[in-house]
Amino acid sequence: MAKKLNPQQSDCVSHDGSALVVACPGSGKTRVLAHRVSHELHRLESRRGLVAALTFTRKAAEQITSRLTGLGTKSDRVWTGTIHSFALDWILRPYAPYSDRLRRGFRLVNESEERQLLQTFRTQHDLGPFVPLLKGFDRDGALVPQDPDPLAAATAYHAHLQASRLIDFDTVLFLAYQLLMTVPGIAETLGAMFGAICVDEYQDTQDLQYGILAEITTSSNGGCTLFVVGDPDQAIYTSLGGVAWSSNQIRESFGLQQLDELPLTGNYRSSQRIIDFFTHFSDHEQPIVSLADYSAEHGSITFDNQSVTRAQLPNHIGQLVVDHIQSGIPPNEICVLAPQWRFVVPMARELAGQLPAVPFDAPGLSPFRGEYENVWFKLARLLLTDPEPRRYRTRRRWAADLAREFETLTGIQHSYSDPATLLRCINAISSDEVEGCAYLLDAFAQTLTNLGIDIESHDRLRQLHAAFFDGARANLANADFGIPDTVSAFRRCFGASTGVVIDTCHGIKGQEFDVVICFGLLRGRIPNWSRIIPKTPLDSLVSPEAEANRMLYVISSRAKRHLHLIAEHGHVTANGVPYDTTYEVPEGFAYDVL
Amino acid sequence: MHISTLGIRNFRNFRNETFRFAEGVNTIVGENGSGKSNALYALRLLIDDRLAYRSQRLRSTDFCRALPSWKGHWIIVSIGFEDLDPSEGCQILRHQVGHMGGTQSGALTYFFRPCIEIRRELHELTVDGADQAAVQAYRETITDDRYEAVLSGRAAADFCDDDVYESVVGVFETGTFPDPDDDDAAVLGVRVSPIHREITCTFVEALRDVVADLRGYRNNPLLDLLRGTESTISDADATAIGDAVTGLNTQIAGLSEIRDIASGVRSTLRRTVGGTYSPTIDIESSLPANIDQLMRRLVLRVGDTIGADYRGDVAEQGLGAANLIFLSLRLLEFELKLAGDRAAHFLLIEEPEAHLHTHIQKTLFEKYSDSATQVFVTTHSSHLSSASQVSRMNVLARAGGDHASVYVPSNGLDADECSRLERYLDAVRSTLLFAKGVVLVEGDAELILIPALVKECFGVSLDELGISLVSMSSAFFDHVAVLFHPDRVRRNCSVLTDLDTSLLDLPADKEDDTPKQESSRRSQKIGASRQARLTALSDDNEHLAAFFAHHTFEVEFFRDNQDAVRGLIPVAFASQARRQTSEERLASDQASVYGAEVLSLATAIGKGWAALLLSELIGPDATIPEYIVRALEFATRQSLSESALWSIARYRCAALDRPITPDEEQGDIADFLDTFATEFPGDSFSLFVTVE
Repeated sequence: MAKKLNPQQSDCVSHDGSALVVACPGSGKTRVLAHRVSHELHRLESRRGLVAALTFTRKAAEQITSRLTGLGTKSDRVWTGTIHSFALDWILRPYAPYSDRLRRGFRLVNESEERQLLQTFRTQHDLGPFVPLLKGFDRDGALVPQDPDPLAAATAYHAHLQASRLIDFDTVLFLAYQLLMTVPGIAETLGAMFGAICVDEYQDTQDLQYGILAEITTSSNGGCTLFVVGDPDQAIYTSLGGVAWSSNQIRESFGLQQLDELPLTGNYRSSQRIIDFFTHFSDHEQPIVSLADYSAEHGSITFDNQSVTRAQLPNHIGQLVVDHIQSGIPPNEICVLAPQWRFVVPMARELAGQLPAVPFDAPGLSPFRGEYENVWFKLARLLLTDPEPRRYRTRRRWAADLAREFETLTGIQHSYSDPATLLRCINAISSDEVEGCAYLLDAFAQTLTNLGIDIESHDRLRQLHAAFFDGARANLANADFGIPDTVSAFRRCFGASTGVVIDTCHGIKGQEFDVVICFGLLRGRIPNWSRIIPKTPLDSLVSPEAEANRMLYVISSRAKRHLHLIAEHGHVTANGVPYDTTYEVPEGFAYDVL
Repeated sequence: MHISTLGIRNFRNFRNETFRFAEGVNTIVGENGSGKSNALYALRLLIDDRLAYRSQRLRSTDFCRALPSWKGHWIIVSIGFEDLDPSEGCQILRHQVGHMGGTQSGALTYFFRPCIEIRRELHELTVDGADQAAVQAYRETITDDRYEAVLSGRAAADFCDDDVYESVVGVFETGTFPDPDDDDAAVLGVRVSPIHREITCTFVEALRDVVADLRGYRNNPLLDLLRGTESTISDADATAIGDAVTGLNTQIAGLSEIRDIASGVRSTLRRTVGGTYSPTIDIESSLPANIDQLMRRLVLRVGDTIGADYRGDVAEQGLGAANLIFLSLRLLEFELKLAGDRAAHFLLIEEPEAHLHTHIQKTLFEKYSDSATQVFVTTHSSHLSSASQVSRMNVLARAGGDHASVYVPSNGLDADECSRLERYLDAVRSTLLFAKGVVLVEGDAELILIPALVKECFGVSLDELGISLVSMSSAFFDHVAVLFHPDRVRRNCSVLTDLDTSLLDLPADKEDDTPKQESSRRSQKIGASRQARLTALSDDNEHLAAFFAHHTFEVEFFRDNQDAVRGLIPVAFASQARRQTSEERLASDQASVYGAEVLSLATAIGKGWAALLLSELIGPDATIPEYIVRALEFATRQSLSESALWSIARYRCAALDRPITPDEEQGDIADFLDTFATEFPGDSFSLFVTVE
């Protein structure tokens, strides 16, 4: 952190006006974004200029916030979060009176609820497990075109949401866009409030999201500068509608006078050998240079092409993990990647059973999955983390966030609006309950009593309370998660990850590991069948080759020094045909042999 | 940006009232106990971050007592904003409270309402078609700790509209309550955080001890102003000062006098408790060497403008000066530190007459009337400052019983109408604005004779009847009469004027007029057009009515009180012959003859003087001309109490030796008045109580 920005980075940060930054992997993109936010804040001296830092995931938003705190930037003028949350917080909630769909009240479905609902409508419309169901809207509010059955299921699903006064994130985007288009004062007001909008991972941004942001910057009459960062080579969310717009397209749609394209080509993460390997998967012209201390290290790059069987796979991976740990690499610097989510949990079980001494983390598995925006989640994370010095800033920020939430939800400024007071109050709570949910119920009740909030008189607090526990119980009941309902298990969800990470390629977005082990490099998984045999218009946006290249690019570029690719043998398709190795893994590369 | 309205529903002595404000300085004028402080408190609920959190949650005792039962009702305080221009630094406020769709207005609303369970329960009783008794029984169980305080932005509804209130809260008479799960955000708005970060609010209480504030640490406007300055002082300066202070401390502690005392204390201690137990004592000077702490020691020194070099403690100055300084510091703080940061500054001053000389108020407020500061001043009716303009004034009146009425004298008037009104009111405004009823008359004669007639006939003064009698002298009635209107001052106003119908017979063709006839014809024409104007003005206005003398007041008075007028003859004319002629003319049955003579008498003596003489010549048997009785009745219609009627009746019966005796203890006033009117049909009082 103390390191100075390199010349390219500081050019991006201090660039005068709007910019599109194409950042290679490991180029310190998040750091540049945080510095840019801080730079914009100084530029927009008056507190009237707010800065929005929009990220693809909540986790990335947290990172930006931590970095800003590190930079000593006062954060009450910065809003960080996903574009979905932005639309919800800044457009849907405040301007609900102008939407017939929203004015009589609405609630965001939580993830577990949404999964259940979708399953219900899939069953109703006899959709097999591999039939894609797209529930996103276009700018006119029409569902993404797809086969009649899934279209009918998606239509029924949305009708159900509307009838139950529920919205999901797809609805959030469309309604936000619709509000901006039909009530011009909104974009004008937001355009006057935000002096700068910074967008991370623009290559994963959907058309409606571009539309929302473009409406705001256009209405600002040049008062709001745009800073977009991303890497078109890492566009792996096209099936969700993510698309990297060209700089011209952005400039025109966003009503910008100018949008300069700036490169970040210095990679602080990987050895030059790893970089040279992953550049195989890109047609990017600018050479990427390793700026890592270990840039010249040989490390290891291996490729097991159909030499390991499906049955041997866990053992094989386990051996790799053990070898690296023995060579002195800490477990949390090792990552095992599965091509899809459904392979993560079985692999985690196998490895954990096989290597009882090695800690494993599957970050996707949290009982609170789907409730991260819930005020009770925000209280839970304070209750489930210890007030230790290294967490001081983070917890203080969480407390400030929680205080604001309470204030908004109860409509009244409280005596505990001061985060320090709120923290003291929360830290003082203790409970003898050992079951996770029971503990939280008790701790929540104590907190309310101490704060003098009567939950009975605050409707929304109560609704969210119910949603929080419904979601948690549903997650706990899900065998895939395998999380026990205990306080200690709950606490682990918030602990710093110390174990070997097991996740999907999508799940480790933005992260880096000394060792990356990826299995399932099979055509049909990478690229997914849906690319090879497209079923929806979104599927055919990207060719199977491009998809495979992007996935391999993302996977390989996570690694600092060691990369192990595995195309295991023995998987067959429904028709009994064995899977091929992913075509795009280069055969001629000088792989290491273990 | 400024606050344009304050609507208060069911809060303390406000049943349902709306204040209207303009940019700059606004005045809330009201008698004692009319609720000025309650109005400011309501405003502070929404804009003052110094109002303690505890106080933001109201209690059942805060409900208006005019409600038959508070249970189930809501307290709603709503402020309207105007000019929320996003380019003017109001964008965040606009985001929180602004209405979209091409306006620059917005609304921030405070609800103190039953929590959702209670509202659901009430609604379910409605749906179930429960009887009133069940609803009542349920309402009885409601307690105020099951109420919630909610802040809402951009509510589009006017909660002072009874239909809106009933659609949102419920209809208590029929026991119909809406479904709270179907609340409409377009009506009720969306929940928002307090807007304290966008605005600042300074509240100066009537009895604020500003001297203590200026000396203290908390809430000291000087220190607030200085806060942050220490960081701009250069390190070199700070170090130099710190060193100097440390040197001073050493020097002081080193003084032999100090050292002697310290050693004296030490030796006394040693003698008393012995060396083993005696603590070590030293005396040090502890001026803070740290610049932050030193800044907190800064005090304001104040001198007179004429006292040349002397500067003293604030306390040496009068309270007025201290208040002036306090206010100036707060205003400066806003200008220097907050203006770039906040969309507006609201200054709430209770009874500035208690703090500031009128002249200072005027200059102070005028200076700030154009800036981002909006001032709200509450004041006493009798102390209207010259700084307050009618166009920025709200009048608080007690509407009988225990609740207040708010009148906005300028509501709906254009700038010209306002300024005309203002010019006139300069002299008599408080009378007009606070009267329970008003009678506007043409000139001195009415001004003198009407009170005398009322006193003689009814035994009460106009004050006791609650009537302000105001002479328009040469002004136009309509300029002032516009005040009395359902939108403005909701008090009755009677306009008393002359039709000036010609006393002379006028020829059919005005070309044939003699000069006298010509002038008479002109007066008649003016009278007719005045009648048309006043009639138009009072049409559809329940608070305004015009009453006309057929010819003139004097002539009308003569018709009913001939003896009194005859009493003027010896004063008017010296010659017996003229006196005789006068008697004869007065005895004529021709209006053109006696009328002309009445006017001759008045002219000979002088109208005002004649009126004074007449007032001495009348007694309880005098008769009040009918059109005046009607005017009095209209003006007192809202305020006349039963006890006032009893008292007039008692007086009237006694003074005229009537054979009936009013008995307040036993009788019913309506029955008694009925009897009285039937028995004495020609009596002015009979007319007064039977007017339709």
